[in-house]
Amino acid sequence: MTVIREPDLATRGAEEPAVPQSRPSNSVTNRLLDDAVEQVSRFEAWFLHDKRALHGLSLSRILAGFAVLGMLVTNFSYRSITFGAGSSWMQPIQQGTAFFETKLVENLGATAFTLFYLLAMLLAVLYIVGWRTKIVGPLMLIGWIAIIESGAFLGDQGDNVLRVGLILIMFAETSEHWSFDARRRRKAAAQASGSGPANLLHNIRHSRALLPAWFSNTVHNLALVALAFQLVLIYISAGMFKTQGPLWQHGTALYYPLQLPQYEPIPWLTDLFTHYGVVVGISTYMAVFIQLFFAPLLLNRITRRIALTFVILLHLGIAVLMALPWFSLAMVAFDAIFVSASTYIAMERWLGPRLDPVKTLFWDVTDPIVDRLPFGSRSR
Amino acid sequence: MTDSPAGSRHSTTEFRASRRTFAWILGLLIAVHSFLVLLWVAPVNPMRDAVGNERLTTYINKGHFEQSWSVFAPTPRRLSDTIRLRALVKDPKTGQVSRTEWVDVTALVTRKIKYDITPPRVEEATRRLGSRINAAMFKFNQDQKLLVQGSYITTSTDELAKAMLAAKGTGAGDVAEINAYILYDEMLTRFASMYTEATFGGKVTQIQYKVGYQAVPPYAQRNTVKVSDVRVTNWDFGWRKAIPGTKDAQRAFDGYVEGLEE
Repeated sequence: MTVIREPDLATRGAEEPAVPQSRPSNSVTNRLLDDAVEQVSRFEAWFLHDKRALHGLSLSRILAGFAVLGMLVTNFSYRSITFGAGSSWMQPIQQGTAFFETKLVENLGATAFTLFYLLAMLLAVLYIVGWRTKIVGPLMLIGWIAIIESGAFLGDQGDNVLRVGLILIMFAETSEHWSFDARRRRKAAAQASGSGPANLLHNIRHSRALLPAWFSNTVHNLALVALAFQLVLIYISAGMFKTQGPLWQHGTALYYPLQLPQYEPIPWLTDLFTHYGVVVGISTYMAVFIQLFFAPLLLNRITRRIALTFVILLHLGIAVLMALPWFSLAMVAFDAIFVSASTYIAMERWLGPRLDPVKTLFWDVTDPIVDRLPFGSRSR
Repeated sequence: MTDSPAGSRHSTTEFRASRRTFAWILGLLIAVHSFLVLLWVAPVNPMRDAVGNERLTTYINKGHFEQSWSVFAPTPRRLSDTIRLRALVKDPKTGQVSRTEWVDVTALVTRKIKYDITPPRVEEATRRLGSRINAAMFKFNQDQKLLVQGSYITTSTDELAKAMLAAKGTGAGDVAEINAYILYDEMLTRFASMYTEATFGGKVTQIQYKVGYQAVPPYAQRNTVKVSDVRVTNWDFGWRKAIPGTKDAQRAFDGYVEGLEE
């Protein structure tokens, strides 16, 4: 295999993955081999060279954090009957759970369970704002699984997508943008400008990398690819199951679940939606086709934007018409990885100046608090 | 999924052979994992049989990757499940036992969740139990349907399960359906015991539930008939011995019922 030489990279610039030097070609076989080696090297470089989709994953962190927080907040008033001591009516199912995290809460009294619940909510808030994300993230995930899976009988597929997605992004860098960790890194870089010892504690304090870049890049990018594959699987399998059903083929399937009281939170809106057959038909077919062809549509910049727009509209519809907001938010959260960095940068450029007053106020309020937290930039 | 055009602070050029090998091995593991998830979520197929359903289930469940995407497909849900509850309540002072009237729990829930697009998930409880019991009842034969109408106060529902199994004929509810019914019967009995105690006070000694359904009107009638206009088809069940909860559990139900009846 051809070894990539560093001078090549230096002259090519950081944005271009390195390609191998071509060997002299004197036959079709050699040229094909050279091409194959080049493709493999590009493939390897994509994984090793840099962390991908950092903007998308940062947005995934924020939205998934909101989904976790939303679930916890909306069930807070009924936390005991749903997940705590009052959920003993679900005992026959709880006994067979595969989630060891539920052991953390199964014997807690009412007060201790409430404290655990509040702690999970606090962790979700910290995860959203990206404070010590690498530590807070796994703790939030464990706490959330412990609570949610104690009432698994009442769960939905939103729990599953959120859990699987969160597990995968725990291996990725999700605090690169729009986080306290990113701000801490920027401030530390500006103050130190390269001086100071680069030991482990120093790196932890300033949210700097602890592992070699080649290692963390590989893990990050593989987690990203696994998440992308997982999402594509969800859409394709959901689409495949739908194509098997006569009601989906007839374009009337969406009408039926929308009539059920639990999926009809706003009756007049549902009536408006189902009144015209054309609307029901187009929506039913769009739901099938956008899921079935989600993966190929991602391959082109234009069709990707169309696919993502329709997927967001689909989930917005599910959230409002069917009262399933946290499932929808979880799906949209992870779909954020499919939006290109250039789109996020363009959005930041447009939004940034407009949000400056809000940002300034936010940092003015939060900086003094964050600096005093354990491992804050003032703690030494 | 594209990266920043300028490269990030993580950019590196360390591409030694050992590191590339590590990436390939890790990549292979991720590929195997992704393939197993693919088999899990896909409709039943020969590849899944080749891997082995039990092995696949163990990997998916222990790895926290449980998921199913046949939501509303191939056939979307078309039944609105209903549950009504009543109880025999013993007055703690006089010791007198009285039978309460039926409480239409699902109707109370429907009223509560109207205009709420972020409903707490406990509001799904009775409908889910109703849906599971309805699904089992559709599979039972006439003899099995008669058996569930019996009361099980001093006799355990294990005896009911044995009798239902003995009554199993060709095409009737099999072991899986019988076990499912017994499981959800216990859950609903627990739920009903605490729910009726919260509603009527006193000490609940026995409960009875009535599970039913309303079929969503055909598409062609969508603008003239609502599912709430459709007559409820009920299954009858006998009395069950109450299964009370702890004080904390009962307190949770007291709060829930209070919220429903507001």
